[in-house]
Amino acid sequence: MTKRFFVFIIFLSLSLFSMDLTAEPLDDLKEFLEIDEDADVPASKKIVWFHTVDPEHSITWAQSIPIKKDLRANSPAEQIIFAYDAKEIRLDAGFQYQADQFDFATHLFYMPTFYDTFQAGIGINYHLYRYFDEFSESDFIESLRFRWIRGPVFSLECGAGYIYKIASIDAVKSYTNRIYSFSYHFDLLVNWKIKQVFDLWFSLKLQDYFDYPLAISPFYKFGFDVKCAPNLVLGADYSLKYVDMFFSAVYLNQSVTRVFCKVVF
Amino acid sequence: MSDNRSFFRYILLSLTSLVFFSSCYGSWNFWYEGNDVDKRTQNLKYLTNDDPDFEASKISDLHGEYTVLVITDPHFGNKKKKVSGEPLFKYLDSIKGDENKYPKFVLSLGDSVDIGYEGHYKEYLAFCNELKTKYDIPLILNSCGNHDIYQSHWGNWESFCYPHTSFYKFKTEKLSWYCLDTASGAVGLNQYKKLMNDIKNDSRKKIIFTHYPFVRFNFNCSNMAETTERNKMISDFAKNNVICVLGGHNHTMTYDDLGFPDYGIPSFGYDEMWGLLYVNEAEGTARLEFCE
Repeated sequence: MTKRFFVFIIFLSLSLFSMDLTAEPLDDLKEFLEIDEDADVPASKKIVWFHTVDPEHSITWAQSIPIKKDLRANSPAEQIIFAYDAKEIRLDAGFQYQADQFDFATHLFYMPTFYDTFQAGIGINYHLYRYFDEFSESDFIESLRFRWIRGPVFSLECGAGYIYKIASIDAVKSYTNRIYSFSYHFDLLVNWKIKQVFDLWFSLKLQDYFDYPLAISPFYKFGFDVKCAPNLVLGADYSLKYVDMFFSAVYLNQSVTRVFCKVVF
Repeated sequence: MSDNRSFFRYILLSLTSLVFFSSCYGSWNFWYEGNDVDKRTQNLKYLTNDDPDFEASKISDLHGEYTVLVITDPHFGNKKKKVSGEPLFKYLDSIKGDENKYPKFVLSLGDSVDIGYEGHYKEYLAFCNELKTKYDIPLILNSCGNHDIYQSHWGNWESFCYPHTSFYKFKTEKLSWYCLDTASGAVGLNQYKKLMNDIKNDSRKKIIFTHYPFVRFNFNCSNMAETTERNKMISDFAKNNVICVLGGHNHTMTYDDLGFPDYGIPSFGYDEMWGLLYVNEAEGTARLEFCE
């Protein structure tokens, strides 16, 4: 009971913390957060379909270490992710390599900005997974997405849709070439950006960047990153993966900690 | 501002609800860890004639051709659908005396009860007792299902359901039979390693029975969700002489050819259906017939 209670306390604390941060900014808080109210911001009544002013490019290198292992996270894994972020359009692609497995994943999000307050749009996602000498999987996700941006500090993003999985197991290929599965996708990310240098976030996902179980096996993730230099971000996160959380007694299948380094240009 | 704060409170409430109502049987499952599959499957128990009940059943002497009755998901104690044994009893009456058809023992693939209360188990045990006394079924071998251990009732399952462990094996003349614990929706790394260690050192043909199904070709969110585990185990089964896999849980009748037959047996309680497994030890085959 203690571990789950610990997870709940973290969740509750983050929720209460977020309530404070989304309160109306005080003048000294505005100054602390370096908010310039006279800046030439886009008109609040317009819809921005797409603009390419100062898009952000980044390369992220990450190393993940399993704390509680399962067959999926059985050994440390190395990741490299390339990303392009133009706010309304975001695109990324990444690789993960571990002792007996290889992953490739890519995401494309198109989310126009409405009234400078929220974004809504669609997302598509493809994932290729090879477990050497055993099987391959391909995953396709389509989702409707929403992001609410509250000032310079808080943002909440969620997506809901479907996942299509096609698996091919080498040893049974001559009998059943492909195994098809069709299930749900959901993701939610709450992010607090503090003084433009420190990010603190919590996410709940049914599929992770490189891990695509069928519903309903959520990942609970907590993480932070720090802008150490103008183009350098360092961070870490910790994730808990519960298998079939809806239909069965809750079982923590996997927990993984990850450190990463992001170069922005 | 107040609108924004109300909206945010609504989001928080939704999130909190998601955590609290994260199981179809309520938030309480989130708080218990006694149901952990790793704790339930610390050892693979080998049933032999040292066990008086197993010896009396004479299962280890089975050879040639025989049948096994397979039931799953009766959900004794369910308030919406009261379980009736009558259709099965009538069926057994109709095949009494038919040596080729009458079952030598029973496999019960889990969700024997609805929530795991002692009262529910007593109903299930009364049903099992009727099978034993009126229908000469010597032994009912149980798998553990997710409903059996709801609200931390693993202790009840362990006390009431033979062989009082959820991870075990036994042998007939030429076959090895393995029961896996998938009541948590996953096999878990520890159980997987112990199982594979045993299976790889056993050259016999094997039958696997468990609660969660391995494969269902349909829209789903109640299969083995961790597909790495699923795919790896199917691959291992194919490489290690597994001739048949039996599962329940989904309350649907399915058959998939994975090089070995993978059967999904419908619910005994809801669908009033069961399976009859025709085993041929000499040929090393096992074929299931769905019955109602």
